[in-house]
Amino acid sequence: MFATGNRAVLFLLLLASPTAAQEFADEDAPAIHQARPNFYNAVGGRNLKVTWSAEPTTLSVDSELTLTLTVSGAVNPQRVRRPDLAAMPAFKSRFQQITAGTDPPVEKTSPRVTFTYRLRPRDESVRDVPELQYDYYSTATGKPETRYLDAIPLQVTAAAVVLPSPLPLDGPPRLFRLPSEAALQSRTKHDPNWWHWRGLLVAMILAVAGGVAIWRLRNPNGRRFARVRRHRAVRNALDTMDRASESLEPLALVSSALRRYFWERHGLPTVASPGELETAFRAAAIPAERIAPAVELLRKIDAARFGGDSDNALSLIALARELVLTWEGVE
Amino acid sequence: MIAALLLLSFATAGNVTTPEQDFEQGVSLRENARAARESFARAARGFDRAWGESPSPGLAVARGRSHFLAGNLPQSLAALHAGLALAPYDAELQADLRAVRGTIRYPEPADPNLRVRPDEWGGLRSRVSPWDAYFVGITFGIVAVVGSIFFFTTRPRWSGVVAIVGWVGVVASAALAWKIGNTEVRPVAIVTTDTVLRRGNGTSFQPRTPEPLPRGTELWEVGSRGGWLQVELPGGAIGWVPEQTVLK
Repeated sequence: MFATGNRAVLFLLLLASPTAAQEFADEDAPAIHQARPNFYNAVGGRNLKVTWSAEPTTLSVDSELTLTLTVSGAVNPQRVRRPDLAAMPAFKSRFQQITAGTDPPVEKTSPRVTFTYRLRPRDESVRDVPELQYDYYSTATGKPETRYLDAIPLQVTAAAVVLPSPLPLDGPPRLFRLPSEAALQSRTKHDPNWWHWRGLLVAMILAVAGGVAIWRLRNPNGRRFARVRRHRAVRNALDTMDRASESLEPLALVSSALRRYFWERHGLPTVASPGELETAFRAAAIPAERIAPAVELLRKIDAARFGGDSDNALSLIALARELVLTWEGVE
Repeated sequence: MIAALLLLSFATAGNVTTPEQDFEQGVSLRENARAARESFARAARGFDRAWGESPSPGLAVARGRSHFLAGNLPQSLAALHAGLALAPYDAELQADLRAVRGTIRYPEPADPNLRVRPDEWGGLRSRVSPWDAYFVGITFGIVAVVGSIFFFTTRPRWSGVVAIVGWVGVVASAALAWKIGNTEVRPVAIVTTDTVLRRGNGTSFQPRTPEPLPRGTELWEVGSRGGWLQVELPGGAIGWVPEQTVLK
C-alpha cells in the first residue's frame, strides 16, 4: 500500500520506539508525518474532504456556539484524531471556553468522522472562528496534503442584561387608591370666624322679632292677649280651661280655675258660693256689669256640675274662658 | 428650525402626564416595585406642586399616599401632618396616618418616658370641625328662635325652656368653635434616617434611648442649637438629634 522507502523508515522507527509501535496501525500515515503540528492522522485519497460549520454565528458573549468539524472519505476513520483547538493560540485568544463535544463512536467503515466543540467567545470583539489548517496523508500522492478550513464570520453581541426578578410593591391597600376627583379638586373652606357667629346672632334676633310681628299682624288682639298671658293668674286659668275638656270632671276643674283666678287677681275667697262671691265682688268694687255675668256663670256651672248635666260642659268652658278674657279687657 | 421646535414642543407636550395618571400608572406597575416607585414619585412631585398652589385635604391625602408608595416615608408623614394641620378632623387623613405609622417598627422600651410610638390622633379638634360647631349653632339657633317667638306671643309652658335651651346651645357652640380654633398645634419633626437620640447636642453625649430612633419617628420640636434639634418623644423624654436627620 505504501511505498517501499516509507515502509523502511517506518520499520526503523518502530524498532527505535517500541511504545510508538503500539500506537500505529497499518492504515496510519507514515510516522514521519505524524509529528506535523496540524496532522491528525487522517489518511485518504482524493475524495477526502474536511469541512466545518458553526451554529449559531450570531450569539451573545455569554453564550456558546457549536463548531462541527467533519472529515469524510478517510480510510482510517477510527484513527483520525480530534484537533485540540484549545491548544491553538488563534482559538485561545478568541474563545474563553473550548469544550469538546461528546461524539458518537466511529465505525471502521464509517464514511465520515465528526468532531464537535462548544466555544464561548471572550468578548464582543470576536469576529470569527479562525482559519484552520488540516493536514492529512494522501494515499494518492503518497505525501501529506493540506486543507485550509476558511474562517467562519461571527457576530458577537453584549451579554443579555439579566435583571433581578421584580418585587411587588407592598403597602396598606388603602394607600393604593386616590381620593375622589371631587376631593382632589375641592378647595379648602375657610373656617367660620366671628362674623359668621355675629351674623347668626343678628339673624336670630331678626327672626324672633319678625315672628312676633307677623303673629301680631295676624292676631290683632294678640298683643293684649300676650300681655294678659304674661300674668300668671290668667295664664294658669286659661291653661286649666284648655285642659278641662280632657278631664273626667271638666266643670269641677273650670269652677276651681275661675275661683283661683278671682283669688289671685282680686283677692277673693276661693271657697265660696256664688252668692258669697257676689258680695265679695261688690266689696272689692268690681263694676256691676262684670259681676252679674260672673255670678250667673258660676251658678250655671254649679247647677250643671251638681245636677249631673254635663252635656253643655264644653259651652260652659268656653263661656268661662271668655269671661276671663273679658275681665282682662280682651275682646 | 421653527417647525422643528414646534414639533419638539408638541412631542414634549404629548409626554406630560397628570399626577393622577402617574399614580394610576404606579398602581398598574405594582408588581414591579422599582418601576411603580418611579411613577409614584412623579405623581408625588405633581401633587406637591398642586399643594403649593392651593392646599386642600384631598391633595394632602394624595401627597401622603404618593410619597409613601414612592418609598419616601418621612415626606409622606410630613404631607399627612400638613393636611391635618389644615383639616384635623379629616377622617381620611387620620386613617392614612394610622396606616403609614403601622408600617414603622417602633422600638418598645421598658421606660414609658422613652416611648417612641406616637399617640393616636385624637382630641376634640380631631373630631369636630369649626363648621360642624357652626351648623350645630344654627340648629340651636332655630330652636331658640321658635322658643322665643312662642314665649313672646302665646307663651305656652314649654316655650321658656325651649328658648333657654336654644340660646344656651348657641353660646356653647360658639365656645366650642373658639376652643377648636385656638387649640395649639405643636410643630412635628420627622426622622428621615435611623438616628440616635442623644442627651446633648453633640455626638460625645450618651444616647438617650437604648435603640436608635427609626426612620419615620415623629418628634415634637422643642428648640435648636448648633445644628442640633432638641426634641420631645411621644413618651415625654427630651433629647437631641442632628438637624439634617429630621424633616421639619
